[in-house]
Amino acid sequence: MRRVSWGDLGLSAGFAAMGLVWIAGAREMPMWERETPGPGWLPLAFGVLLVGLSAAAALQALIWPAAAPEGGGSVRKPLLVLGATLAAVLGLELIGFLPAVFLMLLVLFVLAERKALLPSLLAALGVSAALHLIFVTWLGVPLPAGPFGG
Amino acid sequence: MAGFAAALTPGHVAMCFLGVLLGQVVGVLPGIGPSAAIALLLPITFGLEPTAALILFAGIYYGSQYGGTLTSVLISVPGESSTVMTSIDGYQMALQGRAGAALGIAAIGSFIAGTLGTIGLMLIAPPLAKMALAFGPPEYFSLVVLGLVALAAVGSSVLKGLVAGVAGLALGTMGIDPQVGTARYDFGQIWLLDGIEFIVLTVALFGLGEVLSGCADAAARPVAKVKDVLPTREDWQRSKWPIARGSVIGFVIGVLPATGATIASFVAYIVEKKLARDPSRFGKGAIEGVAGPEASNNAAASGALVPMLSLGVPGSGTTAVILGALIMFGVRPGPEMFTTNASLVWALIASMLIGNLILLVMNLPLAGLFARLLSVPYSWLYPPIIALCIAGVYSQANSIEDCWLLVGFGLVGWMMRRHDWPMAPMVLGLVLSPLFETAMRQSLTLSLGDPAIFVARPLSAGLLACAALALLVPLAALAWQRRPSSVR
Amino acid sequence: MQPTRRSALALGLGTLALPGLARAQGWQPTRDVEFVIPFGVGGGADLMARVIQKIITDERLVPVAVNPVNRPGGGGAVGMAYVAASRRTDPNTIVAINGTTQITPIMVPNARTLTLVRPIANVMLDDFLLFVRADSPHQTAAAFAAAAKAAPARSVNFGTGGTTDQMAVTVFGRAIGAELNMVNFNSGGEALTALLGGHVQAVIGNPLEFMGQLQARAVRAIGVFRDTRFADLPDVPTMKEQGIAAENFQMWRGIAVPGGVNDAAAAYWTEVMRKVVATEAWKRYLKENVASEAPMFGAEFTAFLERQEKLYRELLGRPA
Repeated sequence: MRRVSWGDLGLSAGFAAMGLVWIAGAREMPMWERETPGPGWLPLAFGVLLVGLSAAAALQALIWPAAAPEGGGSVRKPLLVLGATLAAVLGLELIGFLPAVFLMLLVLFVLAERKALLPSLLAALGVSAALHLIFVTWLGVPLPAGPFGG
Repeated sequence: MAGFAAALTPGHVAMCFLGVLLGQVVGVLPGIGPSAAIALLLPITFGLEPTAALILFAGIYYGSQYGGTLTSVLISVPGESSTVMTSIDGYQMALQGRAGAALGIAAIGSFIAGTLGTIGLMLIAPPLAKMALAFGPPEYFSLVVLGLVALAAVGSSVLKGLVAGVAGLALGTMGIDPQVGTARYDFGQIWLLDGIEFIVLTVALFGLGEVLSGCADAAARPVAKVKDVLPTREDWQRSKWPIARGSVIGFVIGVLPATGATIASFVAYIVEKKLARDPSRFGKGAIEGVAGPEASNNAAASGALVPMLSLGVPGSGTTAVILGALIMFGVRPGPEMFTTNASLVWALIASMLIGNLILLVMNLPLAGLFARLLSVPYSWLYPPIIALCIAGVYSQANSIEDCWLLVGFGLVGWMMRRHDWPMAPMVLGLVLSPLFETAMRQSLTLSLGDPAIFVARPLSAGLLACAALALLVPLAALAWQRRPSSVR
Repeated sequence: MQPTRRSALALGLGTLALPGLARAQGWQPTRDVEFVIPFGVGGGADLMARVIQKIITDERLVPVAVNPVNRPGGGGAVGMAYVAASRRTDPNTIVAINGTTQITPIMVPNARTLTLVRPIANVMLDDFLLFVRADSPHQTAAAFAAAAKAAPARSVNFGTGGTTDQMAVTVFGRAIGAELNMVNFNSGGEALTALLGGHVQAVIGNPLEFMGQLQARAVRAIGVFRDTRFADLPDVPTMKEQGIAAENFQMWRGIAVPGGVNDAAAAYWTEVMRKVVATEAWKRYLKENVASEAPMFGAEFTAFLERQEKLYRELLGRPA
């Protein structure tokens, strides 16, 4: 049984919305600088194209639904992983790179993957320390140190 | 031959080894590119003589093209922007347990291309640099049009590919307009004034997007059996022509001052897909899709040295840094470089031949070794991948905002992968957009608004004709194939 | 002073701290200095900053370590915003500034740059020359100007490698009373390529990118936008010598401290920069880059910046 792919429709809508933002933004820019296209010309063209093509893609999804089943797998775990990543990025400036990434790894190992605590602790510690060693110590990247790092 | 003797001093060979080793490491790390590595090393190298420093820097440059492949193939995180295309088919090969073959063919292809590129640099650099000068704004415009035609050819669905491609083009217009300085789509945020960085978008879409779509069944995912650690005879048969073509494409594109290894790898991928007897294999682990782009990006690294050495014009961000360094050492590249500084140039060329050999010898055993990394269950593997993405994206510009983009575009990448929307056109669009717009507006400024400039110049007209052919031939073929069925 | 000395000793730099103590004027760095470079790794601004950092380290001008940190983006605005947000009163921070950072807020009104920091010293001026291809029929800027004036408006194409080059072309166009057609490239190198390929007839740019081609006689320099000729290019006359009333045009590069830093620390850094620009290493760097020496400090520098701001706004057609 073929069914409409809501994912395709959603992505089409998202890209169309982006196209509208581009069209709206381009209206505030000069279209021409004398005889040559100005800063707003191409963004407007891209916006119009994007809206048009997204509409076509949405139509395609409605008229010829995908033969293949909806993209597989549950969404719960990816959302949990995405949430953990977001939290780590949030924590980057609050508590520093090392603790933020350590906690993210621990949460993912223990909560998302249901690993035993001890190996998870060791792996999280090892990975975050290794990254700190490579990026901060060797390459001199100023990853946020946080209140504990001085 | 005197150059070989100069390069073979133990000190220079040591520099060469150090350079390719550092390049390999830097290539593996997303966000840290060869230009950053060279700039960081610069103060330490002030005490060196210019030849040793140049050998070191060049080693970092082409070594990074080998290193970027590793993460692209193994975990779908492109270590360098020029290895994005490798992560499409290379990662699929890794999932099928053929990471060793992918890495092996990449190393062999890179070696062949690097060697051919060096020979090209040695034999035809000055005349080639003169030819590249014929490329003015209209010619670049037509070249980019040819690239844009390829947008649709990358993915599985033409329409979805076009949407993604145009979205990438639109993203490419963000930031300060290089022509007149107007701020565009910065949404009041000063960190958006430079637009979205290519490596941030690729690490988000390919790296984090893949993790998000792969983590759902991480526990159930079978550990890939590592079979044939090295490429088989059949792999080699399939790859030899893509490597040859990739070498030529990469070298030529690398020579053009406004394009670089990234665009070279895109073109090589598209050419292989167009020429393949069964294009549907691409995106599902076709070894040609690894061999072509990998050869191409290495040849482009040699090619980019042509305008730097013989014109004094950098062909890429990395060669710009090397050029700046050379000036500090009192060496001023220009048309007379090959005569006045002959010993330095020959030593560099000799060191590149040696360096590529070192990289091959280093990478073939490493291919098998690193392929075994994938025998670690994915549930242990993906959280560290996310941590690497965060650290890499941050270090690209020491910017926390880029990490927000990572999360945002990671979500987009997951959605696109989940619903089978191709992502390569989007990153291709982002790369080509500024080049397209700049060349178009420059050309029309030259002609005071007359679009005839694009067809009046023979080279530009020829490139546009190629673009039209690339567009029309598949359409005609499609119509031809459909006709019998419609009669029936 | 005691804590300073102790921390310096703890760093194993005790002997290095002594000359600093002898100089004591009330303030000294209390911890490692952060040298903010608001541009990407490897660019011209970055290279200059790293040379200064190396001179400070080699000559032991500061008793602690100086660590360069790149905060690129938005024509310097991102780095300045970073300094203003997290280092506003921190005297252990210095920032690299240049003409580009001054242009950014003129072009992008919501970006703030120099108003967020306290300029300390100018360290160099980039110069501009008028270049044509070697086979150009015009041997001098005067001949070129006459031809450009006689030609139809906007028929003479100039390649530019950035906003600063565009301003220089505007200066030249006004001086000779001709309307020139500007084709904008992303860098001086690309503009040079376009000149060599014959896609544009002339380029006004920094000598640095053109030296290799000059030495090979592939391009010819026909005019200097300053009062005196270059020692390295004795055959290239100034615009004024050729009867072209073009204003002097040069781009400055300097050092600043965060906006909220007190006078004692500002005086300390002024003293350090005075020593930097007096070193042999710095003079060699300027010579290699074909740039002008132009040390300016304090009030003199501030007044110079105000004049530049007026000039830029006027040349870019963006009055305040």
